[in-house]
Amino acid sequence: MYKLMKMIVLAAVSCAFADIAPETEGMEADTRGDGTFLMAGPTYSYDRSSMQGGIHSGSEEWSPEKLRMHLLLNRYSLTPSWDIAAPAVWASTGNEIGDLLLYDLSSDDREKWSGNRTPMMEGGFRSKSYKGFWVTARGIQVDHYSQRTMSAREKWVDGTDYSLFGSNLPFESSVYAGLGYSGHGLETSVLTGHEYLWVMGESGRWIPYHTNPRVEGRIDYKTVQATFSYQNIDFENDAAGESGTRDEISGTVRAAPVGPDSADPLKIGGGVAFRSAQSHGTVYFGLEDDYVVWPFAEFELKPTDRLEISGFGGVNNRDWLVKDSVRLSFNAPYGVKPSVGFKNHLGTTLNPLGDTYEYFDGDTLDLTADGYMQLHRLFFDLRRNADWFSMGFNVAGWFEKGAETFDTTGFVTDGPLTYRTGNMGRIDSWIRGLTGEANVEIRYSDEFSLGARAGAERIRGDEKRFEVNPSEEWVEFKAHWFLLRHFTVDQSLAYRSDAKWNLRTEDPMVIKGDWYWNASFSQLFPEYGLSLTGTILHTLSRDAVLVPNGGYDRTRFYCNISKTF
Amino acid sequence: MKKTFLLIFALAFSAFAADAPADSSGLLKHAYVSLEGGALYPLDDEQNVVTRRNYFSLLEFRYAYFENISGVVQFGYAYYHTKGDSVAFPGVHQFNGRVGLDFPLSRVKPISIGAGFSCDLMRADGSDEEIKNSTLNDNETEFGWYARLDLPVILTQKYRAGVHGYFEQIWTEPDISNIVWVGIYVERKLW
Repeated sequence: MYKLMKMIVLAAVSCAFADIAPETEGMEADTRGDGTFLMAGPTYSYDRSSMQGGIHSGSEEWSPEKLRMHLLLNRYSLTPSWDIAAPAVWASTGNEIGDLLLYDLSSDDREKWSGNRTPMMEGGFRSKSYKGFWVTARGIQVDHYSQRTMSAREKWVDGTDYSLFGSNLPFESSVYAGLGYSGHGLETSVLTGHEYLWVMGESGRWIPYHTNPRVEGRIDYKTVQATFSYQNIDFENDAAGESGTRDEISGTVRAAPVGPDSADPLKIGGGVAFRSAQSHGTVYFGLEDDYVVWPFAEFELKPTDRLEISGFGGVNNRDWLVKDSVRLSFNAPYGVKPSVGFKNHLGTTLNPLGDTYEYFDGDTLDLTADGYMQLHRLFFDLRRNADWFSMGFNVAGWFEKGAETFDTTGFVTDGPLTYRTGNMGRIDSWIRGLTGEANVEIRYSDEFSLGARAGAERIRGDEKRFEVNPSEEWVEFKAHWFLLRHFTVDQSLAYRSDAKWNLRTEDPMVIKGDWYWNASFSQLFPEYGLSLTGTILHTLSRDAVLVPNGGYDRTRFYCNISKTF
Repeated sequence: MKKTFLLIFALAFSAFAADAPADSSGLLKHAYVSLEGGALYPLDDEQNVVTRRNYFSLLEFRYAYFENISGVVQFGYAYYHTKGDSVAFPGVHQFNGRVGLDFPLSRVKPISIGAGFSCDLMRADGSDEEIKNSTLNDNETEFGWYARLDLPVILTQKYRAGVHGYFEQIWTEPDISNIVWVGIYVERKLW
């Protein structure tokens, strides 16, 4: 058992291109350097990887795999994560660096200071199984990014008492506990919890979202995955004297696309997702007809070793959506693996399960748009893997018509924040993009590896109507040391060029390009399944706001202790 | 003694893993506990707001980490006296923790150098009225790093006593805090 654990730990730390772990699951936009990742706070980010194509954020897309993520308004979020961990006990704590401490005692220094820094904390465990049964509990609270918008948010909840701990109005404060069973091919669990979240609406307002209770049941049996959840959500705006509740039931039953015989070239799956939301009083989000049912199908077809076709699609009374890809690989000398492929993404919406309205001071923001979008991406990919090095090159051209955007009709200011009114719309002209990315990695046994990635993209179209003009250049250098079989050092130095938000403020907001340096140090005790990790993020970058109405992205340090069972 | 300590060590992190297996790298082959006391001196502007009468105490657990490299875990308490004419309250409590490694210098035995991460938690010492306008009226935390020099003076089979000198940087604003710590320690070998 310990040997197995040791192997798992060693395998985990030896993966050179693994990203540095963010503060908590779901905050990966903090540490990724392969595209445009702009975080407003733990519950909202613009996340667009270099290989995606199109102009939307990845979290706006529904896919069958997202059945266990939180749906916040119309975006999927892994924050706060209710994913079940392997048997272990763990704790993390950290802080945005730059508190005053002793400098608090000097009035001159206090005047120079740019504001309070806020912590994060997480603790949890999952027990070992007893006759297949286990228990788990987890608490997560991330106060990072919270200070800049506090004065606007205090008005909604009449003070700062809106979290499990402290008074920083964290965007994410969640606790849950539950029990599960693992055995006979079955993985099942029931969790219940209590959450305080702040969800950014399409208007740009941060809306308090208090869920008590949230109950979630999960079942995995062979290829079937099912999730059911119930949430009682309280909404309030104390300054306006408004309050309301929403009872929401949602879930997905999915049969993953695996054929009865694994050698079967055609694998078919599918399922159904549903949501029902009953609102009482003033609730700031709305779902058309108060329910949605979304049947979907998935397939994977591999007629030959070289040809792979896969996709999924769904349809209901309001929407339809299809996403598919074709990849053809070739044989080439010197171990080079070239392939070409084509991806299509068409639909009346990116997320058929999301809320369809946001209500703002008597106005209704329609979050659906007439017509449909189509995104096509043609790519050529080249890979070469050897014992001590690997390299890759990917070039792609994509074109999109009917891209979802927001037709802003007006702005409202609230202190440093700007809100918008309008409705979701489409860009009914073609947008064209050309993307190229190369990466190389050099390894010396499992003790040292060095990697580099560089990419560029050019996008042409009706750019002033893009929610975000993504970064057009990015580069990343990574290094990983595994020393004395007990110590690891990972570092990543990444650059992202300018990005621009066009539709959320009167004048477009340019997010200046910047360098980000992240480093993580771990002491490992594989003999005891124990690890101690310290991580520092965003050390070279300026303290900047990356999303309109977002918090400051600051340098932060956090440490984690974990003991696997 | 070793088994007892391992048991506590394991229980601290797990209610389920009391049986520690044998290791092959020297991990936890030896372990030591020490008490330390001394004075700490903030450098830079902070000298204007605290006196020179600042003291600390530390509890340290040091263990064989890999071959002759030691791992270090510390918990400590310190107190800063403020200068009364400029500050409304008489002092500041500090609780600190450190995790790091010590490397013996083979050419100048038994001197070691070490480095690691630090975390300081501070809270103003004073009445509610005195501390109400300070950010230190509740707990404020900041991280940083330290380097240290270990100069053992007395060495016996079970005990060791000597001097530790630390240079610590805490990542505060508007400037980084640089602090020098000097302490005398007594260490007992556990196993």
